[in-house]
Amino acid sequence: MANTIQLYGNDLSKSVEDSKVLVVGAGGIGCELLKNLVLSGFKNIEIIDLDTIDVSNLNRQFLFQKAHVGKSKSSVARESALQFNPNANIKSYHDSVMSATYNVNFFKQFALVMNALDNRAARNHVNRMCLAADVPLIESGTAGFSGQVEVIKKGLTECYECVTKPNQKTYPSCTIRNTPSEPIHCIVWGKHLFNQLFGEEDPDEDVSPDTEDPEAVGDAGQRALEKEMDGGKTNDGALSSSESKQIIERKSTREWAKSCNYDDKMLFHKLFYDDIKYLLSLHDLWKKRRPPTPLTWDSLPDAGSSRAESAPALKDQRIWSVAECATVFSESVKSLRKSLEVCTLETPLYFYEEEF
Amino acid sequence: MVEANSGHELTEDEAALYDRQIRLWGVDAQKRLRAAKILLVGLKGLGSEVCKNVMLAGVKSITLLDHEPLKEEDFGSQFLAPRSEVGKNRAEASVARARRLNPMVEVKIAPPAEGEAKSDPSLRPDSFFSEFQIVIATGLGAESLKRLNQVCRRVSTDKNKVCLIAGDVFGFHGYIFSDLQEHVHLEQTKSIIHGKDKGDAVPSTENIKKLTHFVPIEEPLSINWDSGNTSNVHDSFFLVQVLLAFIDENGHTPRNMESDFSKLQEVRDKKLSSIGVPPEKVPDSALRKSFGEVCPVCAVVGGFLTQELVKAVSHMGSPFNNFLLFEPELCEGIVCRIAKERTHGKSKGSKKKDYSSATSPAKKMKV
Ligand SMILES: [Zn+2]
Repeated sequence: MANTIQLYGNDLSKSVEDSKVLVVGAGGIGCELLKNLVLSGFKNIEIIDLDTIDVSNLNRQFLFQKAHVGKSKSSVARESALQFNPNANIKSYHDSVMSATYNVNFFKQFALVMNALDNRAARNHVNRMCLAADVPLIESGTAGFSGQVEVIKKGLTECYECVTKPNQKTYPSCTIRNTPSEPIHCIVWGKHLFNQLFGEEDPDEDVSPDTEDPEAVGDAGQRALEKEMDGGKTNDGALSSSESKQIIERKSTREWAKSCNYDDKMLFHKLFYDDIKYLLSLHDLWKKRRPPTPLTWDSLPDAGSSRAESAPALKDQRIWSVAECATVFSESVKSLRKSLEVCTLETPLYFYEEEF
Repeated sequence: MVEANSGHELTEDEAALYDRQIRLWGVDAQKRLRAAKILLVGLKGLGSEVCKNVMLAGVKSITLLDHEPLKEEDFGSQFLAPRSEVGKNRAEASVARARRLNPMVEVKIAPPAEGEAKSDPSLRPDSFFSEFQIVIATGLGAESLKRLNQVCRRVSTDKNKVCLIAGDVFGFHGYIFSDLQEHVHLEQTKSIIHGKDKGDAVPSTENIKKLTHFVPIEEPLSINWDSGNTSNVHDSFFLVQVLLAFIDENGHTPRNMESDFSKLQEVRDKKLSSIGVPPEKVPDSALRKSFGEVCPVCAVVGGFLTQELVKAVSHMGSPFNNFLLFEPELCEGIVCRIAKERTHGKSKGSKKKDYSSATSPAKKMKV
């Protein structure tokens, strides 16, 4: 590397060659970083990543190719980067950096640690390990067209957790449960529903109608509902007594779903008919809003179906009709129920979302 | 050109591969990218970064052109050519790994040139350049760049505009120059549309067309700053001019401190005095940091350069006009518009305040 010695000088060039460094994460940033490290003359590099390669990684994680899909990110990244500089020693770990194996002594062996992670839990963890081991950390992240890099060194700079990062944006529970108006509200509702039914239950993430909505006056809605159900039961066979009871007793959604063995049609009916009927009874909510429409499984509108000829060719670009949404709902419930059956953990299923 | 897209739709395979970037820039931008033919001149460190990024973005084709053999010194920043290929043409040595980056993009090698064009890509016949939408030029000196820029403008037609994006990395320093001629892009403005009901407030995005005029590189490079005001121009611009002049004279960027440093000082003194800039603007300390190619600087400049290419091809996002200077001390990309003022009706003779007033204040892009 005669080229860089004249720019870096002998001392810096030597410490680049001698220093052992750790790269945490072999994703978009990790791949670029590993390339830059081996080209810059770093000889002792370790890289750790829990993930395997997915086809949607290939547009930016350039150390991976289609043939590598399903393989360990850290191990393929190592092989590819070695081609750029066969003189480097790279050790890869297909593992979680949060595992107890990687204790303070593990971190102490490095001159520098670089975070190329995609979630806050692991960032916090590595930050604390580096503080405990007194090893400098370079922290990084990207989101869309933006990105940032920050150096963290005990006693010299703030650490990753010194300034509390704003939590993920939260939405008022009554907006999510009663009066969603934007697509994001529906996504949050869907995530909450997932956790209620299959993941870690959180009482703050209930999806059934919110009776304490300040906009809905007192218990007027509740009374209206009870009245409606007294008369409604005979007219409308859809409301079974167990379902109405569930709403009134506010039994946990999870318990109720379990008791009917995650029946897709019953779940659909509760969420999109019973709950909507209840919401409609909170008349004050709809004085200035368009009221929601209850749906019944057997007569779902199929207007604007994505199977129409005018629909875009790419499946990701098509807009589903209500009937198609219901089919996806039903298929998802069935497949999640299956996953639940084979899972033995306390909180079996986890809602994965990409964090930046 | 903004409305048009390339006719046929993306395939499901393409949608799956490009999913994360389609979320960012949309299907229409992706369709325009996949119709674009790119020429990449120069495959040292910066060239290999740009090649990788352009391949990953998913263009139709990329043609690689380099008139030099692969050298040992390239391996500090060039990652497409295997070490066993030293002595082979750089473009040819890079093509196999480039192809592996994305099998959906066609990678070609420019056919061999005749005569003088063998050592200077800007001397190839006009017809060679006319099929491309973007020509990326790295590793060229000022004279070649001026010539190449003229060719791009000359072969541009109503049907096909050939844009030039030039760039280079000199040690810790780097630059990008962009000539998109007359470029229209869509700018999204977000607003909330209120329906009749309170609950019907829906965020909506509206696209507004914006037109930007660019100038060929000849204009900023031929400004005489004698009595002009250089306060809005970052000193790195003058360093870049010195380095482009060095390539003109030596056929390569400064690479060996021992043999090239005094030559570089001479070029500096001569070049700066010829454009009316005091030599203090480019001190020896800056020259010393301009040798070779520092790999992370290639990564940063190559990233910015490709982002400008994506903007140019997709007509989305505001492109910078016209120089980006990478300033290593502060890790900043500084955007300067350096151009002679358009003299409406006035004769071009009144040089005095022609240019400096037209240089807009520098914008900074922190890296
Ligand atoms: Zn702290």
